[in-house]
Amino acid sequence: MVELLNWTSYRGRHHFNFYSKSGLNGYSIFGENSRGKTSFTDAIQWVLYGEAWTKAIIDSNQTETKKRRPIVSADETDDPLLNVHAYREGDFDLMVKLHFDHEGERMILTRTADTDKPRLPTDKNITELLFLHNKTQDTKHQGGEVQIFIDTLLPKSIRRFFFIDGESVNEYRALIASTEENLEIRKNIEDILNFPILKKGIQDIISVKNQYRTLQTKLASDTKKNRNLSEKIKKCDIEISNIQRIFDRFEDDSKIAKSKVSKLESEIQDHSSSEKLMDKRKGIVNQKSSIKNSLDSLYSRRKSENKHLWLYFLQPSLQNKIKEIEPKIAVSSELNHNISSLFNKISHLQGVILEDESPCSQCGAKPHKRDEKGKKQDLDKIKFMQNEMVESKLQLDSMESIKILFSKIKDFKNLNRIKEIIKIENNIGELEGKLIELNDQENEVERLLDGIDEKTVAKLREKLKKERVSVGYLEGNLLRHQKLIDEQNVQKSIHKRNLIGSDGSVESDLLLRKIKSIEWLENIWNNVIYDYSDKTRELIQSRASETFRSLTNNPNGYHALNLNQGFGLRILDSNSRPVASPSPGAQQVAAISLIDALRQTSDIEFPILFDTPGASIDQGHRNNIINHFWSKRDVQLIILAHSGEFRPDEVEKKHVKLLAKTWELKFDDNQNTTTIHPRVI
Amino acid sequence: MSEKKISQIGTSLHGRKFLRSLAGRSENSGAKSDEKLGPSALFNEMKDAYRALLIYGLIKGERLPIKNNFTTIYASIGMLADNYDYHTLIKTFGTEEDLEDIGKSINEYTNWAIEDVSKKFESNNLTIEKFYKLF
Repeated sequence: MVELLNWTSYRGRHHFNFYSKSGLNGYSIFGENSRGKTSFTDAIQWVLYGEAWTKAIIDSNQTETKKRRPIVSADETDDPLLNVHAYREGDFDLMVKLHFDHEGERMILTRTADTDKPRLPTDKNITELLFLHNKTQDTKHQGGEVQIFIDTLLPKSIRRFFFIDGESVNEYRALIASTEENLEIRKNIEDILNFPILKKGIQDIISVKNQYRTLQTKLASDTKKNRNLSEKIKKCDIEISNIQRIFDRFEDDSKIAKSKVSKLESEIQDHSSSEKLMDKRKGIVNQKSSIKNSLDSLYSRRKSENKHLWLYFLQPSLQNKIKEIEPKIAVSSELNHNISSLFNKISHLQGVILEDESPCSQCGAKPHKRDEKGKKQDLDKIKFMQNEMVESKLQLDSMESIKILFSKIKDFKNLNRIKEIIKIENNIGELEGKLIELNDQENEVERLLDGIDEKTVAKLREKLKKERVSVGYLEGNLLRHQKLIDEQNVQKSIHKRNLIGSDGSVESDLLLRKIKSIEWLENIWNNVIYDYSDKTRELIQSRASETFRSLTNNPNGYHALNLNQGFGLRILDSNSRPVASPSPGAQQVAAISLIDALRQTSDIEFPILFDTPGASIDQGHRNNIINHFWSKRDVQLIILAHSGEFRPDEVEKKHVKLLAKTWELKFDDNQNTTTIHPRVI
Repeated sequence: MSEKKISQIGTSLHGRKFLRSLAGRSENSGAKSDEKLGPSALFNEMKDAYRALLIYGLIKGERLPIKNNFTTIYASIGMLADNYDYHTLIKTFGTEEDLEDIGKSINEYTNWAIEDVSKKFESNNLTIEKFYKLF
């Protein structure tokens, strides 16, 4: 059953019920042009694939173009899927529902177009939804998984073998136009046989082969590099081996030396007390040496200081002497001053007597004028002062030698560093005391060592020392050579890392074998496909010929169809010779025969919808088609025809034994909808 | 003014031996320091010892004539005194009489000091501290 809601010219809800108790598979839908016949087949295609196309329009260049029908439009000429009147009135519900049986289970497939927009949506505002309800299992599915299921039901690529449009003459003629090689037919057959999957397998094989080839190319370029690397690895191995030999020798020598050390250590253990004494003596000697060094330094410092010892000794007495002389020097200074003062006074008085008016050099006062008496007194004073000055000078002269002495003895003044010298001496005394102690200790050690063969002990110790040095040297060499080995191993592993395979030969052989295997597989695969394709071609040729013979009005003139290896189609006459110029009707029948054969080969059970079957076929052929399809097919065949092709009552009368149901489509101008009228057969 | 006599600087044999000992010289080491005695000797040179003993004699002692076996150490006072004015030194700490022959005065003051110190200490027992305490 097919349910429609607001589908093109079918405004509101409508349905076609194909259920029939008769068990017959023939159905016909009659109707004049634009009554909804093609819309019915479009409805089924839309529910299956979500798309519907306009009829092909042939332009001036004879090019056919089809347009995808929009879901909504207010313009009828756009051929929208939603009924234009419903759309204009705000009823945007669009639905096609298909009830069918599949592998014994009842299914309902529904596709709807919905919108949230309350007023006049465009296709952009419309959401399509797809549902599948398995009534038998009561499971519901939607969206992508339903579409996948539909592709198993009837793959989109071969749908045209089930939706046959008699008006698309050019399309079908094109299908059989090439008589030598027909890629179109080949492709159809390949699609039916699911060749794309098989060919995908081939592509996968080729892809793997190409990968191997790429590897092979790379390997070839790597081989030279690999050889070099292999050489380097070999060199590393040789180097490692050489170093290892030296390492082993050092290891052996080291073991021997260690053994000697161990033996000597054991021997020297017996002399441990003697060694301790010897070590002690060594310590004492070292201490003594250190003290002697310190002493030498102190002796030297003392001598240096003692160079001026006489001056240091002199200082206390010198100080006393200076203290003793200093008062005399002070008197001398006073005498000097006194003489100077007397000289000035005498000079002044002499000036006054001579009536000089110069002021006094000491008090600055101008001299008083002297009378004779005064002048006499001044002369007496001068005389007295002159005597006093002479006395002072005499006294000063007598002190001159003291002054010189005082000046000279100052040269002997110096710092007194006696305390520092005493300090140095104390240090010397302390160290000398220690030295004596150490000498005693040394003597004691010597006494204890008396009778001990020190030379033997020393020799043992020396030997042990040498052996230990030897062990150290050998251990050092071992470490060094181990490091060299490690370095070589690092180099080697770097080369190995860079190496592809060993030297590439094994990989190369392996790759070659893989490529051969994959080519063998590819060959087999191609042969299988070719054989399968060829066998299918023969089968299709046989089936198409059989159909062609039952459809043609001229079985003697047109006897069979030939599908050559290039899938070119030819009509053969009764002598199996290609017909040079077959009639258009013959070509149409040949195309239908081929389509039928292809459909049969596909093993897909789906009703055949034959729209306008008599568009380019005469009445005789039409009858043959109806007879053939309605009588010999297990699947439902629905013919959609107008009165120019078939008159309903004539068809019903003539094929009453083949027809299950017939309908007539009319258009209700009041309701603006197609109406479905089941006819009584 | 009569010309004053200036004697050479020297000492007795005993004094010389004592001075050499203080300067680390042995009988056999000549002018050089003795290897054994030298390092620990009080003085580096005989001159240093001589000066120190002269000061001791001048400050604390008196003139002691060298009776016999005078041995010259320095040909002039200058060699002993370096840049110092030993005339002033004697004049300051000696007597007027000392100035008549400064060299002789120096020799005799030093001789006294040598005799005094050598009586009190062996040359190898003498320390500066002990010496200083004599003043």
